[in-house]
Amino acid sequence: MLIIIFTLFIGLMLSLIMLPLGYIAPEWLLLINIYWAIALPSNNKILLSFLSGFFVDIVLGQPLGITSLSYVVLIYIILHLYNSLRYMTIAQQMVVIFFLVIIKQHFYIWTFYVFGLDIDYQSLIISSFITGALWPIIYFSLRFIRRKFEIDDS
Amino acid sequence: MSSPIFKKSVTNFYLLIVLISLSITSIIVDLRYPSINYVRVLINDFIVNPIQYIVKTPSNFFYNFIEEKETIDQLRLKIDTLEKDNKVMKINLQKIDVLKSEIDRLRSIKSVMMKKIQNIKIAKITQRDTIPDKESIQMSIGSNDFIKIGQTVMGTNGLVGQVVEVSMYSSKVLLITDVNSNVPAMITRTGKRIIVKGRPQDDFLETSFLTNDTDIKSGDLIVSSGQAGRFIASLNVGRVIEIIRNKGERFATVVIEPSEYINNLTEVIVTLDEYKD
Repeated sequence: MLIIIFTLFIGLMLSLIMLPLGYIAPEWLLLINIYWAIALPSNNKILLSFLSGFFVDIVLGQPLGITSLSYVVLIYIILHLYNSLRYMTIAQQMVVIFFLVIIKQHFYIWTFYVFGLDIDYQSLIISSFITGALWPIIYFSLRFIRRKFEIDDS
Repeated sequence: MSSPIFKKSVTNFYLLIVLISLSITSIIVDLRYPSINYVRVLINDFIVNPIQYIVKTPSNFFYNFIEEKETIDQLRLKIDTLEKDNKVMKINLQKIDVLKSEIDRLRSIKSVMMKKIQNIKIAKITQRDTIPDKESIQMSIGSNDFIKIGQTVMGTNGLVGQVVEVSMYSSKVLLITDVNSNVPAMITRTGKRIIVKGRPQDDFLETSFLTNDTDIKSGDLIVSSGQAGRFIASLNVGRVIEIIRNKGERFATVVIEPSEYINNLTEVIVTLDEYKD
């Protein structure tokens, strides 16, 4: 569990490095959450995604909870799909995760509009392309970490 | 614990509902009562800012290393130029008494009183573009140094922006070059009140809703007018460099070059005074 939290902190670092890009920056924390949800599905992954959404909100200066809402919903869907996702090749996973992230972005934009806020639509879509393209990096590096430290379900 | 390959279901529907309602309430609370964001301030100060510091350290070290190699010669050159400037300034200082009395006379005529700025804090810029999609900077002082939302931030040459987000040890500033920041300003030559905002395509400013027949020339000085109580009055905003009178439309496009070199700033000045009429 500690190592999972540590990887999430590394994701936070990466998103802080890419902060000047604005909304185009890839969503590292979301990718790391998706990996752990697929590799070790359990209930506390939803809680973790909720907390990391809070951190993303603070980093980006948005209303607290607006990102964690969409993260929680996406991780819930992933926890239902993990069986089929595990049997796919890495390229197929990339495509599926890209589409899931796009759905998540629309949910996210929708919450923004519900609360009367404005957001740049195009850069969010570009961001989900980049996020999907970065999946193999996250997948292989986190799988390496999981095997090295022999993380079991926690 | 060895997990079977096919678990029936690991997800707890009630946990999802609880978390969704929790996040919705936190959004509503944050939007309704933005002053009660202790959670944000705490996490910002104790987790995010240290990580930011760690992330920035390698690049800072590298830059310092490069800077130190080229300093001594540059410093000598700088001293020479500064001494020259100093002499010129001393000569010019003698004129200041005359100018002071003239300014006093003019001020008594004008209704807009310029209060002397007294309480200032000098802050370092720690990061740029901290708010996504907005021209913004982060500076190194926060509510611990009595910074509040809405205070005017300026450089030595003119207006820079205003504080929009405050944590305990850092705060974020919306620059005047952003599209969303409207500065109430004044043409000093004619006294006409205008509104200045940022241009989305470059780092210049432009006016909104200035009619085609307005008396304005390139080279006119624009200062902040202090209306609406947001920015302190009589700070330099910029100079007009281009006027495009759009035929067939009501409003002209006026391009203003900001007096402060906003992209090269390293330190800013924050006024702690609150502007009152």
